[in-house]
Amino acid sequence: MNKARVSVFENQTLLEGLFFIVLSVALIVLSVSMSEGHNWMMSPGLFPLIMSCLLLFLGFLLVVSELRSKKVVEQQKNTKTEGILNGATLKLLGIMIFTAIMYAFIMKFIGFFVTSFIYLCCMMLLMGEKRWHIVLIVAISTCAVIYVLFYRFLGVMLPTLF
Amino acid sequence: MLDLLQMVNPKFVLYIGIGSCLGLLVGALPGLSAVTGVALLVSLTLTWPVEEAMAMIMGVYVVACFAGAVTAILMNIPGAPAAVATTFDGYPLASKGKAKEAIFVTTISSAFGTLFSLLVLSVVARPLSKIALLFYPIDYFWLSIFGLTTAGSIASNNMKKGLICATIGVLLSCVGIDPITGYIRFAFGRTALMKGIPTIPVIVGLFGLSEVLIQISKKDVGAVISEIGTSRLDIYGVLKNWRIALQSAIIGLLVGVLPGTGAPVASLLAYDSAKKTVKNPSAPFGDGAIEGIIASESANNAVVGGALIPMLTLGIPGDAVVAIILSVFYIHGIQTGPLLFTETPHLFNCILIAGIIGCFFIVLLGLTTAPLLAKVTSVPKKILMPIILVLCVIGAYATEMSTSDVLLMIAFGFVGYIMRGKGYPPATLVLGLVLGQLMDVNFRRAIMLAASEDYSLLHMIFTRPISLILILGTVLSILSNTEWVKRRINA
Repeated sequence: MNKARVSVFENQTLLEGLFFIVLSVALIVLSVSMSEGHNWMMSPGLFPLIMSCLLLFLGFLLVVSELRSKKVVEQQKNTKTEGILNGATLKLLGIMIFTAIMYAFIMKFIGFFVTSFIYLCCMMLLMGEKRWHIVLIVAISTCAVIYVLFYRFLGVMLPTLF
Repeated sequence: MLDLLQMVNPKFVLYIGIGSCLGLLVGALPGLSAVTGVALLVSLTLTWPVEEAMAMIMGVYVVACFAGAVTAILMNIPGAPAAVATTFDGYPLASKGKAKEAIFVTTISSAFGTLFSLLVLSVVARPLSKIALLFYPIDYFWLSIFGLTTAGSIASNNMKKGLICATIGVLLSCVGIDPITGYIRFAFGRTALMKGIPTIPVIVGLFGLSEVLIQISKKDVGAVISEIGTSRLDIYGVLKNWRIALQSAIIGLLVGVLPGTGAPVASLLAYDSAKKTVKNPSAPFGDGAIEGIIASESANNAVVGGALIPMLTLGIPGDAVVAIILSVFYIHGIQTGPLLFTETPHLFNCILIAGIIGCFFIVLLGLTTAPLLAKVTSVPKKILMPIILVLCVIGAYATEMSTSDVLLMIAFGFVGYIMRGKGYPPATLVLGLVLGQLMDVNFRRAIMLAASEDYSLLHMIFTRPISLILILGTVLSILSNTEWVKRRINA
């Protein structure tokens, strides 16, 4: 087991704590600026100011507890559970998020159903489904069910081509 | 009694059944909710007799509260904020190949919670409504704080991370127009942010899209859950936990009586209470404990009866759905409040009977349709995940027909993916977002009230027993999760 101590700059939880401290300071500044010209009791910035101070306190607690802990490299590795951001995963996630954003933009222009059909086909193929007939059946039937259920029955006004 | 029996005719039951099926649909699908279903029915039932309209509406209301747990269990996507606590144990249990068992437990607990609260409603509606009148704004504020600290301790192994998420959720709720002064906060000039951060796209993103990203990142494209469970359903296992169900239903009923607090707070408080009182759970809490599902679902369904109490007795709606039900009364020219019991008592009975029959539909639908839905989890990920993503888009879009909500959902999906990887619980962020405005408004109302009565805020807090009890509960909730106390307890 690698018992080398994790350095301050490699301790991810500590860095997260520092991030929250910086964020809370920014929010405090913004909250105080909202309070200008208002009675403090009625000020719209009062509650965000209190919550930002609480976030600052919690950020400090996180930093202090990490500095006091004797975390070793092996422990840091073992604390990763879900959501790994390594190279290959990051590439796949990047593609998913980029395509989802394009999906959201394009559906306004060519309609939800056409965009969804194209998106479903592309995603299933990207994820390794090689059977074309399955891809087409699933994409068409999903769009059909959504049309009947959401658009017709529940009245959700999804954008359409015509 | 004869009037009650005459009310229960096949047509009445049919309307409840149709409403129940609609409730299952809107409750299970993220982005839609009981509010959507009931709002749809208001226009549809405009010209109907009020009894038939109420039958269908109660069917939707009662079953939608249960249905949110179905997707929470199968896909870790809560159908509504009330089902967030059900994800803690429902999804882990389903991941162990016991999806059917999880749905069975949810069905029985939900039916019990609803039935209990409606029976209590029939007996003690008026005395219980007086509890709501005892709460001042400062009490609501401390109740929200108590709910959030409880959430922070439950949903994460690291309480600091849980509280950080809750605080960020509360700060997100501050985005948009300040409800007291009308000032626009944290919008940075963007029109999309001026209306605030909507809850549904955040939930769909944090739970739905992040789950999709997590499943995809695992690279295995087989089924999410290969085995949905074929073992016999353990009825005894559910019935022997009747104490937890009863305890949770009481919590749900009492929380439901307080206008604005709602099912998310109830389910969380009940879950925490179960966690503290159950000595030998079927599995560790957070890892598929049946007791956790029973607590969450009994409580959030018991809110149904609780929320109806202030509406029927005082004319004050307990939550959004009940506010729409109240509008149905107004449209049909019916007075709620004390006059309901004197001028139109048969309508009170109508709501009660419709809700009770709705409980039977929870059991019917839960035992027949929901297990069929469980088979969804055995579909390969390469087919299921794209479909879920499309449903997430609809869920985010359906709230306000806005593309910016879809983009928000995607952003929170990525944030949720990172959060879950780092051990930050999305559930507490959502709860902070839901409760934040309640906290903000009540806190400033408390300050204004104290000023108008020439008291200091501290004086108001320390002279109100309800606030003191809630503050004590908050402090105990925080202390019980410190390492020092945990070591003492384990020793």
